[in-house]
Amino acid sequence: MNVGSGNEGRMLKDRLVENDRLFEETGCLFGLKTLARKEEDPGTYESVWHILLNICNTAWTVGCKVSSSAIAAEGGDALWSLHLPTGEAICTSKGILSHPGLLSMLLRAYIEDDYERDPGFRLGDVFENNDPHYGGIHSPDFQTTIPIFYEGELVAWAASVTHVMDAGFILPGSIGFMNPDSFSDGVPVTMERVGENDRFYPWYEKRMRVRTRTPDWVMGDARGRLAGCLTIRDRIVQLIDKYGIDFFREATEEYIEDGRRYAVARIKTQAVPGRLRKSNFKDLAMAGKRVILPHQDIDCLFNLPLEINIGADAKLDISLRGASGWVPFGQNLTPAAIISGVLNGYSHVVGFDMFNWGAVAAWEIETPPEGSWANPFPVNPFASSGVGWAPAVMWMSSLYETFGRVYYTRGYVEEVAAGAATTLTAEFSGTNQYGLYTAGMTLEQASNGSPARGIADGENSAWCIYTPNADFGNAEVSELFYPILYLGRNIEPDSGGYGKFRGGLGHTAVWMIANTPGIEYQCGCAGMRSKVVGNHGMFGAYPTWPDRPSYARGTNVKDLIDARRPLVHERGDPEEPDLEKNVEASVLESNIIAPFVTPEKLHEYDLVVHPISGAQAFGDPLERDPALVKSDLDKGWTRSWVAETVHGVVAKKGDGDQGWIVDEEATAIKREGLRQARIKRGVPFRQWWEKERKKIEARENISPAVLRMWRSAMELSPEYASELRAFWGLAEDFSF
Amino acid sequence: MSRYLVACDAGGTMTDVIVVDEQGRSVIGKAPTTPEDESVGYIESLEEALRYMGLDMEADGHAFCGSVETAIYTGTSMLNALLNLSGLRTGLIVTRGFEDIIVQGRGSQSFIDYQWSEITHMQYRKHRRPLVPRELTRGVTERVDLFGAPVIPLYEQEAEAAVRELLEAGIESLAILFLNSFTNPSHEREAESIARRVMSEMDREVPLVISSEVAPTLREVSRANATVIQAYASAPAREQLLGVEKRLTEIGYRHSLKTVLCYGGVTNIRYPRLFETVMSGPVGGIMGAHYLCDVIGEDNIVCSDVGGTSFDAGAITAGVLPINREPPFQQMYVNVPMLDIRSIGAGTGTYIRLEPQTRRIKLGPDSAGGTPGPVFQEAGNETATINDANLLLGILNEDYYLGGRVSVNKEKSYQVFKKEIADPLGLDVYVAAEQCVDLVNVLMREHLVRSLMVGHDLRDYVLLGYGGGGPLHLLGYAGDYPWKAVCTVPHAGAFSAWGGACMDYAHRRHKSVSAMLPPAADDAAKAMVTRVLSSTWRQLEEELLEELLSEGFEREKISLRQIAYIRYYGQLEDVEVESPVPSLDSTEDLDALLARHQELYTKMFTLVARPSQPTYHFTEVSVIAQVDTVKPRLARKELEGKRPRKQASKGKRRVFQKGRWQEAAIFEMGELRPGNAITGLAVIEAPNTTLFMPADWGLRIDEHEIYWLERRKKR
Repeated sequence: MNVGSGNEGRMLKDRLVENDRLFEETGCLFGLKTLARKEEDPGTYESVWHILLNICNTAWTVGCKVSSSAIAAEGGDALWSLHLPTGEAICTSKGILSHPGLLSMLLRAYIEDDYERDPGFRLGDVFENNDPHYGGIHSPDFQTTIPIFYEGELVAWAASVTHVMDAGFILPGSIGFMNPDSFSDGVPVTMERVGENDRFYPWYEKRMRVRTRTPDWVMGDARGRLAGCLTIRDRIVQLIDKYGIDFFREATEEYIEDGRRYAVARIKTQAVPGRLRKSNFKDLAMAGKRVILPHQDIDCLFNLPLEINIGADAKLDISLRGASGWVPFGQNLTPAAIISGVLNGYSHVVGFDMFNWGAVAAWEIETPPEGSWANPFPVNPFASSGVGWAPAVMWMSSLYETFGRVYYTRGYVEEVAAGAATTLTAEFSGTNQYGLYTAGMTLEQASNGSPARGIADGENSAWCIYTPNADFGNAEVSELFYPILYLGRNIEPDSGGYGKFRGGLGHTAVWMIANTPGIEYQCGCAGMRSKVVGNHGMFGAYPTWPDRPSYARGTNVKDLIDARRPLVHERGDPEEPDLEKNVEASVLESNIIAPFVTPEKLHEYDLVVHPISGAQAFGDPLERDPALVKSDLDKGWTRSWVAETVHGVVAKKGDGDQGWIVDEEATAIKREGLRQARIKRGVPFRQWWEKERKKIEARENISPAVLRMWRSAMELSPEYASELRAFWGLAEDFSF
Repeated sequence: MSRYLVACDAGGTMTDVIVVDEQGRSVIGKAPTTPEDESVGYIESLEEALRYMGLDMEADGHAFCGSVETAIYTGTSMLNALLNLSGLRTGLIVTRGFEDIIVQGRGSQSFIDYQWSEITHMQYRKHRRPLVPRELTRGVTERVDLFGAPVIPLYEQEAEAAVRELLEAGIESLAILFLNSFTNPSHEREAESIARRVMSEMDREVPLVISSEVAPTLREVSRANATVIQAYASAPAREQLLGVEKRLTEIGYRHSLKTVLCYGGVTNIRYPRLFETVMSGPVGGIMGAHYLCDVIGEDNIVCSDVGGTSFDAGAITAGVLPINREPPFQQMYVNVPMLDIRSIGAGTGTYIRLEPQTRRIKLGPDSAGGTPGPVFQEAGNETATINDANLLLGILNEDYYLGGRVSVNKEKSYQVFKKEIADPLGLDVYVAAEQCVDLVNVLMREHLVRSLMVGHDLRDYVLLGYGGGGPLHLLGYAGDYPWKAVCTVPHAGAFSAWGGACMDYAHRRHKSVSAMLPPAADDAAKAMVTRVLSSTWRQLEEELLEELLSEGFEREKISLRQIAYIRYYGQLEDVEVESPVPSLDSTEDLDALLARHQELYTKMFTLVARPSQPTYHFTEVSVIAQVDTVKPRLARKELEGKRPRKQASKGKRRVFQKGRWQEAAIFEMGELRPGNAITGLAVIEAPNTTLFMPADWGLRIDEHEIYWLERRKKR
């Protein structure tokens, strides 16, 4: 035991208390009103910052090369970071930026729970956690931390997270949307010391070998995390040798306070004070589908409200007041993960530099309503977080749009990003082409279109809300892992909403099952919508459509091939999908409401059509430059009826390589006609409000899922309920 | 007349020619690059080189060219075609369902070479403009699985229709890529045959490329990019090269022109896979360093090149060139084996700014480069650069910048630096300038140590600095890390051109394979793996020998090296392992190969990274065929005394170092001789570079005129 591993023999727990007091008193982290090291020697301050970044990124290189998982190495779902002795993240590698916040809070939890006394922190110790109750997000994300000592004193922590291919859930894979409760959330590692002397304990590998379905990949990831952490530790010691322990101690605290100041300054220079709200919903429709327990045979709708108050001092107060209740699926999150999620969203839309724990001190997040999907455990400690990210991913999309509005107000039009795309995952489990058991996720969802910019279309297949390392890799690599053949991976037309600028387009993967006696396809929800639209687009744009995959089992594809008949390579026109048009099958499910797990195994020549959404659009589709519409028509990225009925662009296909030819005169007439039709269709707000109010009062035509959502939202957040009732002029005792 | 080697490197702005004689003496000529007809720039720079040799092109050119044994040309036409989108109008036929493969690429291509702060900033995402527009891409139904089995046959009628449509659309070249064609190329060959028949029927012959011949390796996006580059840019590039050769022949050159391969080595300009020459710019430096390995008796060298805009680095380990099999290039990943040269945006022209919100010093990544250059050049740049800082610190000579050819306004640098950097930081101008130079040195050092040297021990490596800014910053970025030695060369600015003359004739072939070896595999399993590796090596060896024999090389002059790429099953990254034996004839041979893999893997990724029960996955093999060629000899010279000649000394100048002004000895590089030794604080000046030696460093010039820099022992 090494009691008093903190500074000057003080317990780390005492330092935590002291740090909190200093921040409370001064408004500056660690009480740093001035950044002395930075002011005295800005060059060295900057140099060491770059060295620390490089150390973390070197760990990323080492860890990802060691890791066995396509998710980490090819998909970038990993991260390595450096932390103060008290846990605050100093800097991070590239990767998924929602993790540093959680790792900071996990390390704080070790200290608050007196781990410093028992079991103690020693050189060579390896601690791990994947438990959402104690600082995890969901159990596939394993968090490894090791202490870094210098001359016997604990001076920092190295930490890492990777998302493993199979977490030992009740169903195979790592997207446990179907988990009914925490008992089905797979192999638990709850704030444990899992190794010492820089090695995992033998029992750790034994546990993974029998409690996960792909132990080689899971252990490969574990080795990758640890190898990266050891890389950080060795190099931090070298760095301290060079710059001295005093400099390291002081400068690392200054980096975090500087990060806070940067976050505040970005808001000050680009935003305006005020109250911002964004309404947002997500569905999880499971009624009538294969589920684990009978009570899961229901549809769920999540209320994902976001309110941000920007103060005159540029401090943000963020609230999820009105969040609906927990769900009996693996789609619940914790307040700690919400904080970390905001950190991720912040890095995409507010701050792009000096990224660390400091930004967290620039905002306050009101504890989400107890019993809501964002804070279930006080009411239901057994709620599942199998893929807790799912609602948060959608909620973060609101963050994009909300900040977009503020930036637009201040004139930073080029910084506007309309809402993000969704995350529809595909997992396969069963016997693979080598005769071995496999379970894991393809990388399709890791590369959506990017949101429309205030000045241009979004970029196709180039962004992912949960990681800026957006990439879906190569089809040939995925085929090494799973018994599938890609029949298509093209850009999906019109998948980026409709606006003056459209969102970047997504793509559709078409797979034919091959070289297997049978395999399950899980069309998972890691942040998707299938019944309600995904966000709404900004400033008059129309939203992109919900996520709707398709599959066919027991097909005549072999016969089609033998006869050289057309197969299925894309989704085709939504009104007449290619799957329905070209294929006969014993089971043919087209444009299914996701998510779902195929009720029976798929076999050779069965087909799956898996669409990945584009992002949201910006501005009125009637203001879209006809030249952009023509360009999309020429590439096959929009359809002529969309061009005409949505954008009001009249065009006809020209001869040879002329492409489409826009009839400018007819376009002007068409657009004017569409505008007049809008005016005719529109009603005064008061009139609309009164009509809707009557429906609400009568609870008319409202599905049970919607009723449950509003009922729980109002019960869990009385203030929100009062406001809702006041807006609609409802009785004080009104409830759904 | 002596025999000569002429190597020409045409850059975006200037064309450099280096002429090397049998004694290893060299002269360099420069002329503006002429993209429309690159032979003009070649001849003009050769004319200048001849002038330095006391020869006149008009009178002596024919005789001189007749005595040129080898002429090497590294042009820009292929690169320019990609930059300017001026290649052939190319059509692409792909597996149906992948028609967007070029325009869509993959997400990671949209942020190649971005800094992390730019990667998180989603507004910056941008795919490059495609070389083949979507409108000129056609899909054909077919599929081959990962084992090479044709699961869906080629729909011939679709292939025929695709070719007809594309020819009618006016394509000038055609590329064909089908998934997994590297395991079984039959569908691509079938489509090729159909295309040739249709071309014949339509009387429209265009160059045709299939991916399984160009780059038969895994990853369809990168293979598609490589295939398209070959179809799009190789024919115009070859035309330029043939034009240069014709011009040289007209003035007396008697052999075929050679060009430089991305993976180091020269080849005949008629080489079929010309796309493998697409990025040969930074090759010269590494190959020059590779050549130095023998001269200085070292086989581990870290090569570092400081230019105006970037810092490029690569590491030669055990005499083996660093290769990246899927390098990022022009915002694409390409299945082209390239020398693994890692770059960051840090050079002598790098801009210095303060981050507006937090007043942190930000360097680049953009730069003023040579044009408009530092503030002191008064060519339109008003933002401080690293070289402005170097000038203010007294390291650069205001009267001798680029040999005195460029006038310098030091006061302007001072004013800009004071207003934009020093005053806002509350620092003295010179203190701020020194901090900025220290910072760029740290960025360079970190790039070397953290990015390049993962898994390698610096104590085994010699650090070599070159490029115009190399000697200026070398000792700054060498820092106090424990390099085995640190060195540079005179005329470091022209080292890359010199290196271009130092390459062997080499061809390289890669092929993806898939063979597994489970834990505790028996001899039968091992025998199966050895069969896969050996038979693929034999196939590649035969292909390479056929190419080289057809170019006139004798079999006994050709050496072959066999390489396997091995990973633990499930991993996506493998380790390059050169086979200790040319052929795996026994299970012991395979064990030796695996032992080598384990040794390398453990060294790179720590012992904990190794699985306890490893399943090995062999993913790719390659063969390198090499023919030694005549290279410039680094002549051994007589050592003179330690004290430089009198005329080498240019007196003293005040230099700001470690927070105070100090007297530095100034020398003219051209007057220094082998055997001379100098101690810091010193500045050694040449028209195209400046070597800066801090007070704790000493210099020794060896008999090959290598400048060895050694940290002086503290008293």
